[in-house]
Amino acid sequence: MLWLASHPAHWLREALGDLPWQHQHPLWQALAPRFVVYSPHLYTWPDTPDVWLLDLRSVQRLWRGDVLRLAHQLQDDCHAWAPTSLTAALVFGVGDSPWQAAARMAWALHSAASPAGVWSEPDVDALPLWTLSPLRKALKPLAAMGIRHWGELRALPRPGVMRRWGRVAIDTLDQAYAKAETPLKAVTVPDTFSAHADLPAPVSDLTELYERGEQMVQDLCAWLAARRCVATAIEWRWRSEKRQNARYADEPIDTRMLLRASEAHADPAVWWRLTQTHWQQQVLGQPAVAVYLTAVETYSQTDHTPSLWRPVLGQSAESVGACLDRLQARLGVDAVRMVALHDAVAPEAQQQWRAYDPSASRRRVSAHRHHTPVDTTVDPREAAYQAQVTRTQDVQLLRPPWLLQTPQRLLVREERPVVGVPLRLLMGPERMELVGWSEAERPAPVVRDYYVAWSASAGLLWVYKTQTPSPDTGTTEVRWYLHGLYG
Amino acid sequence: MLSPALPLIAPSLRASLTPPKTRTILPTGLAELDACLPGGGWPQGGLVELVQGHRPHPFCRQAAWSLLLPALQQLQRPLVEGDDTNPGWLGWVGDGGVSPYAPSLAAQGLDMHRFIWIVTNRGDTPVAAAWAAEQLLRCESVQAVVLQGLAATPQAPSILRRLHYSAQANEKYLWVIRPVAAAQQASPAVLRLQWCVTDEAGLHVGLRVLKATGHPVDRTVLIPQASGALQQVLQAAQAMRRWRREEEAAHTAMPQREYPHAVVGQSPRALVA
Repeated sequence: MLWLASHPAHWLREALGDLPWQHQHPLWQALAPRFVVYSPHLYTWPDTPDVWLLDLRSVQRLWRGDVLRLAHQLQDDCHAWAPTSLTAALVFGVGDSPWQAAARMAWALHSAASPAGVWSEPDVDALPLWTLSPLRKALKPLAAMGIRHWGELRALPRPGVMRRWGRVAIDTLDQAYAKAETPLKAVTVPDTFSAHADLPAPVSDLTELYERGEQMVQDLCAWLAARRCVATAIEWRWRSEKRQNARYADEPIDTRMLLRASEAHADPAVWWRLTQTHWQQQVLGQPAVAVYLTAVETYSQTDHTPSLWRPVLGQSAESVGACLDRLQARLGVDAVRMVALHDAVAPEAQQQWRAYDPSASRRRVSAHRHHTPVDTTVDPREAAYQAQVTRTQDVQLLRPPWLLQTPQRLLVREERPVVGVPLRLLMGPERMELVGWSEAERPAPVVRDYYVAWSASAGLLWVYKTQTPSPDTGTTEVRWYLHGLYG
Repeated sequence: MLSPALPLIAPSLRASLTPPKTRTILPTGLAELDACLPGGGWPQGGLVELVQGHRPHPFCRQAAWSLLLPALQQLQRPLVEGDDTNPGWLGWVGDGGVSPYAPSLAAQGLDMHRFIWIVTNRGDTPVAAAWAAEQLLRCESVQAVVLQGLAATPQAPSILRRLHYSAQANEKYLWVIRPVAAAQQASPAVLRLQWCVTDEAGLHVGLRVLKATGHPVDRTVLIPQASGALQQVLQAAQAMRRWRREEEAAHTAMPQREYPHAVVGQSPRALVA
């Protein structure tokens, strides 16, 4: 039982209305990557390309030889992936050779009342002869001799069969009993992914495209899984009809939307959630008549083996990268911030809150997520950060947890700074001398005396005092600024 | 005919009366506060509401960091010594007026590389901030979320309920800091605390339990206004000032004696003057 053949049931072919059966049916084609996930060796007959034949010889050990279980799981997977009548009516046959698998499948299609499912019967010798298509011409004379099954033909003397019906009869029989290799045509997954859907009517609201979009994302991820790739960027494109209206004359016909993810992955749920969040923000200028999806950046992931266990339902926990991508898509890029620490004297220059950059964290986050061995070489940024933490630790312990990025000048009453009420200075001064490297940057050294102060209304504050000599009067002007907040 | 129906009703009643699943408790790092809280710390998988005290000054931050820092620090620690697989990301959702000062927080033990600061604009509705907090709670690596400044609007209780369920479902820690008006609103929080009085010296701030599971604790706990080292330095400075004042008082209280000798006879105060 090392081969699996699959085909949709006949009644479905008729229901779809494409008679004769079009093997180019998009959903049928999209199923191929699903099969490839289970085994990379997918074939069709050279003359009839509407049957998938999956060679399981290389993967049977993963399943402890239980190919039937694999077939059942593949069937469930196909239906769970696209719950349509086509996937519900899939017929699978298993056997030791492609002929056997296909014959069982054909037998089920022909004689079973409800053929959908996995078939491992009848016995090889009891398979009907009409399932071997090269022997089509011999069926009638053989039936006249009372020979209707594989086993009966095989019992006849080989030289006689060869003389009467030619070499092809013996070869087919050998192939059917897995004594010889069957010539098949390999199915390969294309190198690039590009899907498109023509819409039945122009669409101006993207929510109308959700079903179509989700299906396309599923196709993309099936393709990624089949290529053993992960994607970091995908592009959506909507084509609009060219309008005569002058109002739309300047608008481009195509609207593009490039989605980047901080983590490379091939999970349809993650890609679809990100897509949805972006679509909620997007307004189409003109009604779209077609939608396209392209995989822009993909990376091979041959070192990472995806789990064969299906995810537990209801467990939809996201990784940090995927979550932040969506937060940025909805709240704006600048709303999601992470800090960068710098070696500087001025407190406001020691930190920089920057918008989260997906590309910077891609390596770290993905390394963490997949639990790959962590690179032992120390990241220079990490080393600088650690050094910074150690060096400034003692002083920093006394600094406030909140900082005003621009110090705020305080009112002064009776030579005391005021925040609601006059401040009481509890600790200080701590002197900081800020000297710029260039004249333009900071022409004169600035001296700040920092104090921890207490205001009955505003709590503990971090304030500083500067003294600037005033050239006009010859006196020094004292200014107080609020720079940090404790609490 | 009431009694035969009772056994049928009883099992469902019993199910609703069974005590809820025991929560994991995270010590607050402040022994006095632990003694007040049910279970002895912050509850995991439930909303904790921190209500501000009297109408505060816009620059008043009500000791939020010194209250939460020990817990946040514990959440980022590796689960097993030497094992760095604990993701321990922290999310802080708040307005962008004043930024967290990362060097100071890093010195106090937080890994700021795993700290996400979500800035909601003034124009955003409270729903946007709550949505961001909910997304962070769903994220597998985020351990704790702090949502700052959810106003006491009519829809706030339903927003809080949704956040509470999210924290419960994902077993995360969630703190919501709210303005003083919120104290009058109903809340689904497992634990509600309110900042109240501050001592004269400005070193401690009071914390009152508004709502908690179990028997009510009608007590105000004083927690340090600043965290760790600074608190010690400030206390030392306060002690020194007190000592100086006492010394000055002792000098002024001393009777002024006239010494015949020219040098010895002058009081130290007069010399300085």
